[in-house]
Amino acid sequence: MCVDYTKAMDTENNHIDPVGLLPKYFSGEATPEESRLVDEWLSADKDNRKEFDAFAKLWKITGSVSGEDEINLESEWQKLESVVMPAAAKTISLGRILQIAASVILISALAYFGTKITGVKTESAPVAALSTHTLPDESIVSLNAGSRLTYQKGFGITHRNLTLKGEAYFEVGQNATLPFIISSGDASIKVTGTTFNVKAYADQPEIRVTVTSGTVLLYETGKPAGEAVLHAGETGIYNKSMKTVNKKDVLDINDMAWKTKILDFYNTPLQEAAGILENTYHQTIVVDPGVRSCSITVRFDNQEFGDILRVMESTLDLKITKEGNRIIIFGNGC
Amino acid sequence: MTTDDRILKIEFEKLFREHFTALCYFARKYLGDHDSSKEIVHSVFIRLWENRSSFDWDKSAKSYLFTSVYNRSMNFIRDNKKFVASESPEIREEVTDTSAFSDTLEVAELEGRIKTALQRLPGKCREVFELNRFEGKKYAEIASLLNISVKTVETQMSKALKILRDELRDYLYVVVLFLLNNMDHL
Repeated sequence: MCVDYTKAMDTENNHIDPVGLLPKYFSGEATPEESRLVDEWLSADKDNRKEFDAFAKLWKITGSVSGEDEINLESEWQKLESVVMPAAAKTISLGRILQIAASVILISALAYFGTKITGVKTESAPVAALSTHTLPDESIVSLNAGSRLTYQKGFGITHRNLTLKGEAYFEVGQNATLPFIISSGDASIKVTGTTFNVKAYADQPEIRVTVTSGTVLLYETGKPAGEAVLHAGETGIYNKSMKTVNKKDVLDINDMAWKTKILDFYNTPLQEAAGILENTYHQTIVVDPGVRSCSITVRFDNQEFGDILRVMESTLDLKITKEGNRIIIFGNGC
Repeated sequence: MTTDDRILKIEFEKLFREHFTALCYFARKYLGDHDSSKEIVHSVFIRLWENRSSFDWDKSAKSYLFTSVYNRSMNFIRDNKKFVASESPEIREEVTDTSAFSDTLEVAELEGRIKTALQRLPGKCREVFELNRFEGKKYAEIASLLNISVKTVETQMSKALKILRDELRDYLYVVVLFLLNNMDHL
């Protein structure tokens, strides 16, 4: 490292990357040679001095911030909100809770299904009936198989914050003073409209929110300023690794298929269609690599799973068999 | 809740999220205690909400918040005579020395930002940086502790500092004078 910087010095002073040496310099671990390089760089240019000062300030202050005393802004805000807002909550009457006006769907990324199909992820969604619950604020929620919803005491009185793992469909009663906030790890969804419908899974690269009516805010948890405002007919996509929120003005009916049993495939690659079917009918489907890229165009409205397989078998000239509890799709390619 | 209240609540939440962390660090400079600091900051926000209709939202809310936290911290110290502040060499009765006040404010703000920025560093990078800065470990110690080379420690340290510099750019180039006065124990 030392040699690299010496070379840089010899050719042109300004080419030194000060950051490379400054941490050592500040912590007193720089060799005399390295210190000399920093000093020379420092006196070479007024801008270098400015840069150095900024880093020195940063260094000094990072030293005064201890590793403890973490502040969780989200929980601090909830604490304050529960103290400051309960008076408002008391004025809410049942009459203000209106019927459904908005629908939100949080969608598992297709990549997630992809991993299930390729067998990387081995456990399959258990076959389970949807369960429907009425929340303390009279909102109604349908949970998909294996999904879980948690909320703290005081829900509907001091707050309406929920944590969702998996998928759910919400019909949320209106309450302008207590926003309905669903957090799903990295992303949060805040409903400002009257009613909504949620569907969410945990371990995916992205979180999708599809709005069928009303208005919904999607944002990185803890950063409501970076929210995307989603209106009816729009889809919000939160990318977990990039921490970005994007908006598309299209709505995919298949995002709600698990609830509605309406599937609409249009030139959909078979692997993708299988993923949607898995999530809708809670079956494990393995698609043979030879037919994965075949595309399918068909609409199913409340069909039995067996009927759907038979239709696919005949229209795409596929072979579909059952092995244990897995559905295997294969064929001669297309 | 009226429509006005709803708008104020959005403003209120924005203020809270922007300044809460820095205000806590600011109060701790005087009180030396994390929990009391948080309590005081909460009480200032509660008071602000109670006075929301008369509060001048267009004026600098930030200076209101910091001044209130300062005053409450001073009252707290007065009311808790037994209370020994562990690191509060600059206790004053009121905000008379405005330059010291704003220096402390600035440092607290920067500390708050740094805390947030640190949480966003890549895992290894953060680990190395915190071992060095918070626990005072030497490069060689960190290297053997994490079973990596000293060269990697150097790289991670540089990377951390660079990321922090980029995240905090707005704050670092502002007050150079303050820095020069405090360079002595670097």
